[in-house]
Amino acid sequence: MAAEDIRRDFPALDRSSYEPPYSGEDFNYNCLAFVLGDRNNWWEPPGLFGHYWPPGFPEDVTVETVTDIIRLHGFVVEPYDITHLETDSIAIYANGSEWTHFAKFSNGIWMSKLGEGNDIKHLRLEDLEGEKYGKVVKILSRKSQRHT
Amino acid sequence: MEQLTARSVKFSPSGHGLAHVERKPTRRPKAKNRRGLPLSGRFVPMPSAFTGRGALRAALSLSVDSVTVDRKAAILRRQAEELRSEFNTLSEQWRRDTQHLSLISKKVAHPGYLRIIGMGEAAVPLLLEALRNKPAHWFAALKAITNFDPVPTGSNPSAARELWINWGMEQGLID
Repeated sequence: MAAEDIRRDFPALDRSSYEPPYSGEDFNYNCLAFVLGDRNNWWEPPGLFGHYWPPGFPEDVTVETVTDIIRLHGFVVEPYDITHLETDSIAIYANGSEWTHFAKFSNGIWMSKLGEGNDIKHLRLEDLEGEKYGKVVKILSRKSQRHT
Repeated sequence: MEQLTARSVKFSPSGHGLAHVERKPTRRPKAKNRRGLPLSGRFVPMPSAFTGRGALRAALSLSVDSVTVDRKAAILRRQAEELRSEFNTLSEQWRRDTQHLSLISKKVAHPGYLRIIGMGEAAVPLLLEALRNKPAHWFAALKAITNFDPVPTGSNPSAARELWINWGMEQGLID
């Protein structure tokens, strides 16, 4: 069922991205939590039904606010869409000014948590672009923790 | 020692809607250790009558006949059976359309989810059953229909799920 659902929602994805499953489905965390290394909380403003939101930040889902949250974790906005093995990166997908999804680049591959579904690996950011997640609007990077 | 200040919940006597009652603190016997000395601090053992379903029964007996609660639960469960087919269709539609969305605020705006909320109280046993069978973000619907939330701020979805299921069992809405 999971693979079938992924194939339907993201037709551009290569089958090897999600078969066999890289992880089980988990409704405890979403993609924002995943890219920041938290597998226990669903990061969304509480006023919008979320379960965790970092204190001190506006309770909205704008790209601007979430960029500030990600920067707090040591990431800086990349001027170019370039990723290296020596960097950890986070890509922000958005529809208009509101974020819809996040993917992280680590160990030379992009990874995503699909809603309350599975974690997957994908070769290209474009594989997830479309009706559900819109387009990649920003990439932030930091020096990989493994290369320090 | 003033204890047992937790909020208890009952069905409204009118039979229309779920009502929530702040029960006044009741005085219960002080727990004692083997030497007969009173225990203090956070780890006071709770007598079985004050936990789980027994606690709800004890609480309800102070304010409402438990038979009324059972009858109300039975009525809701019967009404729920009439909605089951439509509920299953809507919930499956909702799951398919929203499972990959990253925002609960978008998930709960789905027409199927809103229709389920519109089913009212009779949908509560079905929602609790669905939640028990598979983790999903049914919390907003449960909260909207019951006007109640057993989940403390800061709890993650798994904790919320467990609390809602326990509440449903205590109310006799699911087994």
